Amino acid sequence: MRAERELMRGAGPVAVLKLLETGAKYGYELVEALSEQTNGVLDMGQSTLYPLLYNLQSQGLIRPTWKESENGRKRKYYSLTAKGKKRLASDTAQWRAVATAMQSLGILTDTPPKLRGGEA
Amino acid sequence: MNGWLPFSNRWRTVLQTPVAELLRGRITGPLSAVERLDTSALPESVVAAIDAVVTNFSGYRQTKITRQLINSCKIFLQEGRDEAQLVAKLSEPESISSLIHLTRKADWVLTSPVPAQLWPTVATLVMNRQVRTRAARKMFYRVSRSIQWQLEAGETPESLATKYGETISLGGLLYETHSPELLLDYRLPESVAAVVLDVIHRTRLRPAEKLDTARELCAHFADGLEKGNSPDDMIKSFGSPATSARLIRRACLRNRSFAWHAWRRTWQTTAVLSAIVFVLWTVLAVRFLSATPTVTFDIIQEVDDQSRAIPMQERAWPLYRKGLIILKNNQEIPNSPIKSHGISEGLHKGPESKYWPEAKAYLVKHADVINLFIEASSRPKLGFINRDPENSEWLKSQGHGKDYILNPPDLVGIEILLPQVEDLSGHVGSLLMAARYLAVEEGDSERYLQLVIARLSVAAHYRQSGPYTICQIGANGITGIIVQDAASLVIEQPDFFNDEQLATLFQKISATQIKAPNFRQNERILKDYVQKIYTDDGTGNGRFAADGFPILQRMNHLMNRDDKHLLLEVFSEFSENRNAKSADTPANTATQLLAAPVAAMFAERKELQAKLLFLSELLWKQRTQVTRAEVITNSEYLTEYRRLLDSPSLRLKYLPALVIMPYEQSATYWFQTPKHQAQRDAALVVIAAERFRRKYGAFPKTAEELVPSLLSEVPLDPFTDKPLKYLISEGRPMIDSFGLKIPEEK
Repeated sequence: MRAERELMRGAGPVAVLKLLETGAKYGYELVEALSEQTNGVLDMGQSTLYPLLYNLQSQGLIRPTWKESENGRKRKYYSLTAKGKKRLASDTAQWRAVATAMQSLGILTDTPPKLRGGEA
Repeated sequence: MNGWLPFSNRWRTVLQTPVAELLRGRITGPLSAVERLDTSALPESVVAAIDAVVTNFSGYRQTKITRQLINSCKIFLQEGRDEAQLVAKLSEPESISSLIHLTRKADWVLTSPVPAQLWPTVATLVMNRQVRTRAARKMFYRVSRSIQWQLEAGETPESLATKYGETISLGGLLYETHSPELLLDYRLPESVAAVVLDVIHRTRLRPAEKLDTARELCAHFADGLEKGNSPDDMIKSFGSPATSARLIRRACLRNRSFAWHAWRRTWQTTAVLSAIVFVLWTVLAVRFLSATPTVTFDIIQEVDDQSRAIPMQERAWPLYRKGLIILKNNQEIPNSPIKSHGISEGLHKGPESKYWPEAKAYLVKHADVINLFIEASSRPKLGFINRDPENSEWLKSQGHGKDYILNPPDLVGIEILLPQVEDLSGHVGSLLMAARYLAVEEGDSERYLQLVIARLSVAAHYRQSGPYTICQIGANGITGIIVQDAASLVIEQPDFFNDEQLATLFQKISATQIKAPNFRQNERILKDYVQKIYTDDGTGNGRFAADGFPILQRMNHLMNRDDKHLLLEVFSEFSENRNAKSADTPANTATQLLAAPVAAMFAERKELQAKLLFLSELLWKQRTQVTRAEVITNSEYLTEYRRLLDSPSLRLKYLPALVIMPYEQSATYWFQTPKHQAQRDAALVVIAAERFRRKYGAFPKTAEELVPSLLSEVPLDPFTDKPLKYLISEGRPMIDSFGLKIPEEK
């Protein structure tokens, strides 16, 4: 199941920031990671990933760098900035609060699903 | 071979003549450029290769390019290279031809380090119907240079041909990003490259931004393909290029500098404001230019209709006109200004003047005209008609320079000409006044009395000249002068009149009224102004029309007032331009652009008319108020006028009213009516005093002694509201009044 667009609009940036927490990643790598680690729930269209990255970049949350890959081609890698780390911490706290509230309402019955590659 | 070549050359020379070409054309078709030009120095294989390249051209261009190629080939061979190399350089004629067409040059074909087998690749990359020739030419040189660098870096022509493939979209990307190098690392299938190109093209970003995005998208697709995805899957999972382009553009714009955002916001705001202003201005301009004044009455026509209703035998004007024409036709006053001036002075001053003899002769000569004027004055009505063909001769004879269509309907207010008033005063009145000198000199009291009565009637006719205040004031003025003159004669020559004549004189002066000007007549003229500058929507309301500006401008010039020049001069050019249909100048254009918005800010018809009438009422209150002041600095009218003038919004709103109404401070002209009243009353008292003297042997000591036998009551002095001050000075009766000391208004 994929999240609705409005839900995705809120979840997408924090998910990307979370994926970048472990290290710099390039576009296709992020697409794959989102799809695999969320079982397709946060599988965003590739055409919307790059605008999302540019928006995060314009907010100063991530920093792009062109690097040569192992096959000799150049790729743009994105890494978290200090501001991005702060935002991730803040957004994570908010999402937890939301999840707790959802649990209290009985909408979430189990513990919230974990994003692989990050802390619970 | 050596023997054949000169023969061949001679033949070629012959065949290059127009006649030979024509003859040959009839049989085998026209010569190609290669055939026409001298290719004797080139091997046949090279000539054939050149021919293959230039065959896609025609006419002069084909000849020009062929000549360039032939010359290049000759130099190539002279440099010691062999024929095979040359043929190899020209081995892709279609691509070379396309690129020559693009660059409009052929010199690069042999000098470029790019091998001929890469020309199809270069042509595929560079040729793009959607870009301009200049941009394509620029890109051609960039791609050529890039290939050269890569060859120098060790790449082979074959590897480059494989690397670039035959992708058309890659060529498009090169144009979008202005970079032939950075995108060549990603070997994408045409279908995938087309998606990238589509997205990049739709983003409408700057070339550097496009390049960055294109590289990232190329890397994305290359990574996906490398992971084993098919091009179709990648395209499908990428989503809509349009959505992607829109989002990417939005995100990239957010990444731009603060200065750019500020500039963009400013530009957008300016554009929106300009659009709003333009729309508003267009609406106002259409509304303004389509407005036509609704003229429902013609005050001149109304006057003429009233005059036409008077029976012919009661109209004085035909006789005055006849006399004026005779006077002019019999003028033997030569062009000598001295003589003319002399007679004029003699007529004006009488026996006191040294020119009195000439003036007297003139009066004798024109006795018939004087009698004609006296006869005219005996008729009860003036009966002047403005638009009367019968007036033509008079108008021309008196130098008024008008055809009989005097005062056409487009004139307003003070533009209306009154030549009849001028002539009644200047010629008829003056001649009768001069004739009374002769009557006095001859001791002909009966003639004098006749002339006084005639002059008073001329003054009454003057009053009937039109519904204009100036006629009322002028008539009062003439009356005042006549009665004062008669009273002076009675004082200076007490025995000039007999008792009966004196009684007649008293009775005639008593019957003469000094009438205060009726300012209500002025309302009709003000409404005439309004109807000529405003439209009428049927309810009496309307908006300012474009035709109003010329009228306001004319008023401003006629009034000659500095206080309104600033604003009105701006529109004078508009009105002049509108009338003259002259060529537009920047100033005219500016005023035309401003005219509609300014007109929209003027008060509507009803409001403006009400303001005009209100101002008129205040003005006449000021004018009819008796004062001793020469300059009025503080009146209700001036206060209101200044209030409107000093407020920018009110000034603009009531501008037409401010232009039409005078900023009047001088009181001297309007001061005349009480003065004329004092003159008339003083004359009556003096004549009554003389009659008293004849009856009782001495002048009365007070004016009250005259009442009631000779005077019904002692008249009040308009300046003091007390009875006129009567006194005996040097044995003669005198009246002392402020009004009698005011100089005569000219």
